[in-house]
Amino acid sequence: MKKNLFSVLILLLLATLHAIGQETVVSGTVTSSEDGLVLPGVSVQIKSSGQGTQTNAEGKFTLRVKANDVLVFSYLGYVSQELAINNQTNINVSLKQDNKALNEVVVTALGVKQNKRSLGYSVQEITSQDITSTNQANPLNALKGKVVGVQITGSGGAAGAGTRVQVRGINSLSPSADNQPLFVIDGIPVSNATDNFGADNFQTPNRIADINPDDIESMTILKGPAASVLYGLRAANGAVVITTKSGKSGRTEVSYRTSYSFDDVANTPPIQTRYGNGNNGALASNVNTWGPPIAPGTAVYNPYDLYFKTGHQLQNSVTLSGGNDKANYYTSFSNFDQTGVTPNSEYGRTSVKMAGTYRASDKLKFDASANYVNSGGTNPRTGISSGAIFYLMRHTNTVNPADYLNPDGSQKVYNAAIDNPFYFSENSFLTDKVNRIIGNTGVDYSPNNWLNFNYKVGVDHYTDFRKSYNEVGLLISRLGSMSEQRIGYSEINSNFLARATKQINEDFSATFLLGHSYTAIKRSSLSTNGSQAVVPGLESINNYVVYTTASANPQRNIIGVFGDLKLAYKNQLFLDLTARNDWSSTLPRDNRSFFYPSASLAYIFTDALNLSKESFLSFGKLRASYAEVGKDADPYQIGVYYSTLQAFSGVSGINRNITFGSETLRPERTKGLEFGTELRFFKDKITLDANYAITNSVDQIVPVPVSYASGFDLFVTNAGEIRNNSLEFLLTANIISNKDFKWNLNANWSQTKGRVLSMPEGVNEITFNPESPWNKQIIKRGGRPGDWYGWPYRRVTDDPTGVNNGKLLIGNDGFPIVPQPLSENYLIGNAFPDWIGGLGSSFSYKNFDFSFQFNFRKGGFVNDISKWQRYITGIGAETELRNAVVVFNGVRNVGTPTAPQYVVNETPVTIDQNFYNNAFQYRLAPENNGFQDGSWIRLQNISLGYRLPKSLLPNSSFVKSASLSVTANNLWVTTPFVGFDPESSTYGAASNAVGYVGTGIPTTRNIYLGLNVTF
Amino acid sequence: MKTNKIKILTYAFCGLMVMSSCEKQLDINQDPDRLTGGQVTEAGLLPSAIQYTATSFWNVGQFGNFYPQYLAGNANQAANIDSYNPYGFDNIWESAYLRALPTLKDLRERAEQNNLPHYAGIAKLLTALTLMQSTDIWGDLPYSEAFNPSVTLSPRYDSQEDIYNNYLKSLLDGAIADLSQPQPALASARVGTTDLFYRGNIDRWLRAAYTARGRYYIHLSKKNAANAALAVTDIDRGINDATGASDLQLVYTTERNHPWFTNLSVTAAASRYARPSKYFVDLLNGSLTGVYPALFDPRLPLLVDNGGAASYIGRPVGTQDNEQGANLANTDITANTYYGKTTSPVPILTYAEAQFIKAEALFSVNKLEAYNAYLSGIRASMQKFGVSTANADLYVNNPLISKGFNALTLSDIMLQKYIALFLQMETWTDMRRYDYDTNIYRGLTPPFTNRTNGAVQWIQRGNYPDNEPGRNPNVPRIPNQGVKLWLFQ
Repeated sequence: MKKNLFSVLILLLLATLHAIGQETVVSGTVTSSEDGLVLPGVSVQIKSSGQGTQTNAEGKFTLRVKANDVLVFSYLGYVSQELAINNQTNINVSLKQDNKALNEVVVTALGVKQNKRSLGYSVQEITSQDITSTNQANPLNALKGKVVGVQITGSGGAAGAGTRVQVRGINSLSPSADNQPLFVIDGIPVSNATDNFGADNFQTPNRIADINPDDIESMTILKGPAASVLYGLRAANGAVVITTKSGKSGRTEVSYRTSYSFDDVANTPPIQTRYGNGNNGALASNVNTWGPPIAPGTAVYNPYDLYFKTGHQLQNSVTLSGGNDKANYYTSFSNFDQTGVTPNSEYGRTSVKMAGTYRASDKLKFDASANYVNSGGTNPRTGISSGAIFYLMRHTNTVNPADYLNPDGSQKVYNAAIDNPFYFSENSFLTDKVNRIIGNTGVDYSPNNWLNFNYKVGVDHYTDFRKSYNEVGLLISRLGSMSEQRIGYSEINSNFLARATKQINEDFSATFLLGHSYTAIKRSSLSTNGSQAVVPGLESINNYVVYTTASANPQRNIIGVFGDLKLAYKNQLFLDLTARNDWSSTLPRDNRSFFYPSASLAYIFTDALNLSKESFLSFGKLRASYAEVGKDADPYQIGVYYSTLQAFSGVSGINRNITFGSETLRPERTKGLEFGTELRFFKDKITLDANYAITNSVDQIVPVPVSYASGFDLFVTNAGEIRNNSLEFLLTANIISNKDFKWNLNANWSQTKGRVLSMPEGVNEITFNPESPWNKQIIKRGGRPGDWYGWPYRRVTDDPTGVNNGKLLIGNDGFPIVPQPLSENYLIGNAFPDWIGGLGSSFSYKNFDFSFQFNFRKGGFVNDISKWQRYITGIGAETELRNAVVVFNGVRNVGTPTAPQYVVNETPVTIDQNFYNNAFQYRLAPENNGFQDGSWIRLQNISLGYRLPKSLLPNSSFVKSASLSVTANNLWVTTPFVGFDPESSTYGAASNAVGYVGTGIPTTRNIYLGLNVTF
Repeated sequence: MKTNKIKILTYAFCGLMVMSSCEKQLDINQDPDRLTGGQVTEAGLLPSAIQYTATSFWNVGQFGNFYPQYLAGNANQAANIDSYNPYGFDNIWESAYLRALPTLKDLRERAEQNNLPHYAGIAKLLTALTLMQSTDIWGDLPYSEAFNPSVTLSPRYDSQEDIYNNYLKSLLDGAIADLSQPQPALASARVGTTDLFYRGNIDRWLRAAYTARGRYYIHLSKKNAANAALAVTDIDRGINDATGASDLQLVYTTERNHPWFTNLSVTAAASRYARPSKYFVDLLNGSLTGVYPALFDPRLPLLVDNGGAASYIGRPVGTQDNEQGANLANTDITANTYYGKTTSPVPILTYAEAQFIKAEALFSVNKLEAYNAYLSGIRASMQKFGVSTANADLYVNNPLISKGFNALTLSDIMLQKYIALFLQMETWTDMRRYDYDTNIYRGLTPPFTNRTNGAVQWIQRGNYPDNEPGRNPNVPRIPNQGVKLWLFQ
């Protein structure tokens, strides 16, 4: 074994010295049999030796051969062909297209292109066309509704708002854990961090939003641990593998794409317009809208209509690409400019990218790419207990919120207990400015036809300069405050791969891969907070009386060694075994090395059974896999730390930290078992992919909330297990495909059910952000992540006659009853949907392209934080029913608790301000405090395009093609949810706390006009 | 062999990297921006222990002040607490249990290990004061197993009886013993400038410790009458500066503003969550029926701000909107008042309180001395709040106040203590010791609205904090906040 290892290393060294013999020269051209066009990049190999070359941009090749050699021509998507030379010196070959997608190639872990046929696990690929056709500036938003088993949630409608991606279920008990997949661009991981600025205050961007969607060739989503085991621990939640565009040899292509959008807020919470400002039915100096009936002729305002305006996004992107048989290049320049739907909301992104490949010889290839991004913007502060939307939803209806400035420029507000939403937006905001460089360079060396070495190193570096400003006099900052934060992030990844492929005999082939990876991540954050402004209006950190600073510099290094053995039998049975060992700097010395394996199997049973290609079932594959992935901790989690304490009266001190970590922390493990099948019917016209996955996350590294009486708040330890069962179906159909008319259909459906199997010892429950004391998400043993707890109305369960069971139980006071004591919580629902799905179709007829994508979500209860604000302030349409005598629909128990006897409730009660405001039994019930079904059917995207015919192009020799399009996102949504769009998330893209909406800037509806020209 | 193989493999691959060794790359898990236990000193921990202790003494009253009716709730949520909506004192649970007590334990253990009895004594004293305040809120609490995470993360709850009879007693006795030790010869071992309370004046600390034990004994005086005498002895050895200059209190600064300033003064008037109560304002205004009729207390304009109005009107506790004339209230805590400035103090132990403890303890055995202590308590309170001597004389000499020792009632002592301890939650303990007796607290009425449907007539305790039951299975179950603590049974 040791010997083998050395031979690999020696081979590595000697490979460059390898030389080949020569006898004669053969040349020729390779074309496509379908259209006769030349094919560049076709692999031409000598069968006996495996040596070979590739065709150049003109489809030509030249090769030194022996007279009796056999040449093998192979090209992606074409049927390979063998030809004996027989002393010929000129050989022209025409390759037949392989329409069967069984040779469909997907990019898997480490950027390795693999035949999808051989994969024993589920992957899904989204192409460039799917991404750019939505006109979404954030590439993640383009995936909405398209990827089965993946939940993509925008955090809202703020300009540049972040988007959260979750593959299958929540894998962690920790509210703050990163449950999002790893993002990989061209084989090198990059950051998709969402750097929060106050958990609920800003919908800060996720960093993948920095990527220009036009640069993306494809995105492959690796869902299970089997798919991502080769990326190691950071891919425990799956991986999104992005391949960027590269130049094609022989063609210099310039393309220009522009689009302009109209964005607005489609759904706003309903307000009542019968009663005006005041309190207790009288005109009073008060924030509320519990005043007298509005007199005829009085001006009435809908604050939402006045506040939200039409936003715009302007995207411009130019790409230039080309190359020859030696080198190719790709460059792009793009600019994105957005003005949001609220005052003081804007975002922009400028991206420049250059990439190239140089083929030094048949064996040696270099590639490099660099992408510079400048992005950032400004958005008003929001939040669950103060902020622009919070004030907006409390604002009354008889005062014009748009009239918000006094002649001297100061705030005009109708009551001192509220800030004007316009004024607040302009005077309390966050500005961020990101400068980012993503670059990588690599070398690829193939000394012979069975061995390949690849080394790639990449860097992702960004700085984010942020400024958060709160003007003097705001309710949240009477004396004014500001903070300036400088975030620096750098990530270096180095990957080395050695791959050997061998056809062992006619039936067996094997690929063995050995790799090493090194990751170094450094993050730094320095923030200075100033409070008590010297003068109002000076937006500078120099302007304050009291300062505090905080600095953090976490570092994390990971070293990995891995191997992957793939065996194929008769191209119908595939076995893939992987093993990996990681060393992470964040774990205790004794536990920082960890090993994890995977195995997957794919079986093409239609081939094995020799089923006819013409039969009903044209292709069938079964697959199964088992994989483990280890996971490390965040930096600096172990042991007890102290910090320095801000000076008091000139005296500084030392402060105990209230989180401590186990000295024996072990790596966390995610274990995934997956079964799936891929079936193709009617000559591959219809494809059904079904997958069932069980993922167990064990030994979780969780900051366990502990009793304060232990002296700490959180104890970081290994504890708890979550299991997620996911069922996924993906159906695609090429219903019609002829020259003039093409019609495709795709549908997907998925369901993930999480279950908490065990909890940390001594911990009964973990509460996620209980923003309303009436509804909270609690994780318990046997429960599911995202379970909502509260106090539902009591309903009859014990009627001896049975007829009243399920009816509301009404108390003797005539009000519904909330169960007591309140220290007991009751399960009332779950924040995650029962299932999600998508249905899309695209048509093209001659020069017209039409497509649509629906996105479904069934279930998933959402807590609308704004609802109880609508109640207590009396602005909500629900409160129009006031000062009225009503009878609650339900039954009263006139018997005894043990021998109940139910009669229809006839007790009248008065519904008044006190009722909405304070009546405990009413406000507590989830029905009334903003707990709503967040199901939806959404027309996620609809697009109509027109490709200008050649005859219409101004200079047909210059302009190759041009197209116009109209696209709309979120054009139509139907949901039982009353309020803003239930999609947005109060806690932003970084948090696991989903299902809270209402106080962030709501999700928008967009209509884009686009133009696309290729030269 | 197998591990050997892996090792070789690893080194082989590491060799490919431009780095000295893998180990070096991995040994980076030490936070460069924070300290480890070895870098911590007693002098460094003391200011954080003091600040958290003071914060706890303010936090307890942030909403708790509705119970002794110093304040009435003004905005919706706070208003519900003043009418007995369930309340768990969550903020003091954090500042006392998560911050102050474990920091004090850390300080004490380090001081004992390094043989620094003064630091240990200070830690014991502040622990006793914080723990006593906490048990007066909740009753049974974790202590014997608390703050020892390597042993248990879910400490058991000790009974209040245990806490009073064993733990508080030994903490206070220990504090007095430690603070009686001589100054260390080495200057660097002495308590010094980082002592935000007394700047290293150990004599003052010792006196504060005696006063604290006096408070402890008066709490137990109903359980055992002999404790009253022990209280008097301790008070006599306790804080002796009538000007208030050696009161145990943290004075805030223009940079680190007083919490009443940031919570009330600086807030827009309409959105202040609390206002002075009608009971308190009427008591000082001479308009509380049958109590000090027409006697205007010169402390009133110093403690509350009526914006220059002709009258002083407080807000009735437990009301909404214009109920009971709540809308007529015109007084507030503002930056013009004694406790509402940026630089106001958070008092923990005062000379005035000590005098009233003495008066109460002597009331049934030596009325003359009780009377003298009562008068000196009033004068000390006047002086502390900045009342001029002339105004103080005018008030004290009024026959309603200077009524002669024979006429002195327990109610006189406790009402004057009530005024002197404005916004201090020690008063709530006093009120519960006397079971809200309206013969003592004359004119006191329950909140106008009672949100417990009558289950709780007078509030007796705090609920256990919301976040504890999910974290610790040992939390006792309490039916409601009307159940009396052991101390008040």
